[in-house]
Amino acid sequence: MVAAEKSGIPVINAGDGGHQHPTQTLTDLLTIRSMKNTLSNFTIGLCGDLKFGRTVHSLINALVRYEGIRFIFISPQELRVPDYITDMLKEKNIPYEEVIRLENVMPQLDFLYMTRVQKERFFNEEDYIRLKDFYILDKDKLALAKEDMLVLHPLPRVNEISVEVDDDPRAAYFKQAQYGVYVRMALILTLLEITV
Amino acid sequence: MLNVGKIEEGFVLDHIKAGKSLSLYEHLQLDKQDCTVAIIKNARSNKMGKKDILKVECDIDTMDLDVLAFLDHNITVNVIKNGEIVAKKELVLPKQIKNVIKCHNPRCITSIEQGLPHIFVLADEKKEVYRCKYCEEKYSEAAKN
Repeated sequence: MVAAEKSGIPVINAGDGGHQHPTQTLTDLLTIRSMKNTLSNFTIGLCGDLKFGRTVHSLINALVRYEGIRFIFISPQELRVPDYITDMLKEKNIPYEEVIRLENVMPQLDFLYMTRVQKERFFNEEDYIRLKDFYILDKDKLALAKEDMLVLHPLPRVNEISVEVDDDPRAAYFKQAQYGVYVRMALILTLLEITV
Repeated sequence: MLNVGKIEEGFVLDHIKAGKSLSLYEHLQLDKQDCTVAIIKNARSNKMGKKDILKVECDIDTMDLDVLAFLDHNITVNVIKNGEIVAKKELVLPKQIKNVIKCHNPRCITSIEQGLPHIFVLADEKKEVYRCKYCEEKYSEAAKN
């Protein structure tokens, strides 16, 4: 925002600290719509670092525009979604719940959005080490999910999704990364007013 | 008892919490105004026990007083013309406040780029919630200067 205020040319927000990440959200929306043909009426679980996870904040902001969205926030107490997000959800009467254990809510989810617990988001190493392995998606946890649930992740991952999950048909994160290329191409072309 | 005379044209800020008048003087940037200002500290008050008063001899329309609604609800703004009180100005919460409070989020851009103004935006008028324009951190009483 500061750059945009000072600049005479458009500035694309490619992620601002622990706040927002709008281009990733465009990618996420394209992925969801392409793979499910809709952006309405589903339950999405957002898991991991929801406090500083900027992709999560932007995605929630975008999804509240669509009908029938229910959010389940899965995180340790220390990394809960910020209050400006929950205040907004309450104001708009959008259903959400906050839980600590991923396994308990897995069967309800149509989408599971995983995020990494980033070292640089912590004030001290001790907290990071204590929390980084708290939410790891592996085959056992995925076995509790619906057959057609999709796993999303903004990537890169650290270890929050076991590599054994990569071959599961529900793992959509590599496809999502591919869509990310198209979205950013489209965005740059739009800003440059280039028609292809 | 110290007596400060009437002003002819301007405004009087009454019922200021005792000891806060100098801070209001700074927030209203009265040091930049070429006008007469009387700062009365610890005046006797039936309602408050002690209070501060600011008397400012300048055109009220040249001043943005809305920040007072954020700083202290109880302040009364008396508009003075020809030495008499002609109106009491209604204060409304400003949509935006600049450099009055600081964002205390260590990850906020204003904590890193030292020269940036600290701007807060009115997010909820009913609950009087202000949030940092850049990181959306909620203002808390502890952050007030």
